[in-house]
Amino acid sequence: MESIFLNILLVLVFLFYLIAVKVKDLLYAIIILAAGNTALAVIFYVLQAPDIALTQAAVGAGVSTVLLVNAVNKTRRKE
Amino acid sequence: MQEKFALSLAVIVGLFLILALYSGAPSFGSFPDRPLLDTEDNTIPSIGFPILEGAPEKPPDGLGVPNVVTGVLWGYRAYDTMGEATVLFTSVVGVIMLGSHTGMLSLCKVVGMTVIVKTVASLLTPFLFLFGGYIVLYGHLTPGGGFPGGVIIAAAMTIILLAYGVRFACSRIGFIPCEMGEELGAIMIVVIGIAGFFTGTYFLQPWAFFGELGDLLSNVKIIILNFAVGLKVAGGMLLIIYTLLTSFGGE
Amino acid sequence: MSLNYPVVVLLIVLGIYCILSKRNLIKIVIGLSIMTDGVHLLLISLGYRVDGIAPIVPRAMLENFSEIAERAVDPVPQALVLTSIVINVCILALALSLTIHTFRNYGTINPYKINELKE
Repeated sequence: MESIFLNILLVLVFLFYLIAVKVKDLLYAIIILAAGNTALAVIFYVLQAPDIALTQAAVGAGVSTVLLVNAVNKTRRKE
Repeated sequence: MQEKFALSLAVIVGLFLILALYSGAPSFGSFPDRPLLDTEDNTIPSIGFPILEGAPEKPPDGLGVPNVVTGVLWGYRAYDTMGEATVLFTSVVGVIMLGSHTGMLSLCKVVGMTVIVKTVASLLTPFLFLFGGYIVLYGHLTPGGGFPGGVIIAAAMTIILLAYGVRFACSRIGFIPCEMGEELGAIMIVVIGIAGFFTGTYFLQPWAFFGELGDLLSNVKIIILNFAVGLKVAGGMLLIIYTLLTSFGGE
Repeated sequence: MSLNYPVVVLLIVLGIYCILSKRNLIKIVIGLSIMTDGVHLLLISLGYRVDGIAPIVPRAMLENFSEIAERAVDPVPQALVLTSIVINVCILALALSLTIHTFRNYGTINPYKINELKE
């Protein structure tokens, strides 16, 4: 059961990241990247690494999203 | 053409990775056949040091913290962690150097969001600060430590910044307190490390044990180091965010 | 059948492809982040064991370390990854700062056009 949950999350992370690479609008790419980072944090929790899960959730969904959105705001939005 | 070349190169790297992972690496979920901890003398076989002993009469031999990840981070890999703090400092210096002469804080307009967002932010952020402080101070007993706690504090400050605008946030916690926090954290790490010499151990090795293993004050050195690195990470992240938001032309 | 190692390989391949083929500096930074996440997942997966518990000794297990020794996952890769995540966000901040600087000086974030404008 846990293995199925883990596999679904792994496929979800890969799909999120694939969309983030393929999409042309950079703002959408960053939002989807944050979603993928959150799913990755859940994976780390399932793999019994709660320290990493906390850090990944705070960094991936919080700080790096702010930095990337700020960078897109100051440059061009379209790729 | 370039896209095909990139794809083929990436696929070649992926084939090498598959070859390495399925020929040499242990299969998933089968980490050690050996136990993590030798039950005879409480040692990790791959490292050779005893762990989790917490004996006050033999400080260099045990880490004395229930959270083994924090113990490894501040015990066996303390130099590594100190180097990482240096990397953070270098990054902050680079960002400030690139951004400082292109914009001024006084040029930023007073911006903010609606009343709803401001109310929610003012209700939410005290608990986020409390949560960050809890994660920093209990990092040796529960999951957490200096890095996640510092990042959470910086993220809580970022919520205030986004809701009320940059100038309001800088009037609460400005550039100077952030810089002072970061440098104070770095100085604290080095001072705690040197204090290890005077207690008869090595640089940055455990030296202060009080009470039983599992109490809050059981290992004072790791609490102080977690606090220092939490201060450093929170100050550094806030400095990076402030500089990137205010410089390069403002909002 | 676990999908950990295939997804790790796919993430690293995706990151390399994104870095090599995209013509936008922010997309290249995103690719760098994706590749780092793949490496983190690989390190954590190498230290996992089935039905393991987190390497944190609960208060009830303080007396006998043998149970945690037999069941805990490897703490050393977790400490490495904890270090690496913070370094990753430092690299991200510095790279984005350089990207904005490039945009202000050259007016573009396409790395192939910067060379043309410099002359």
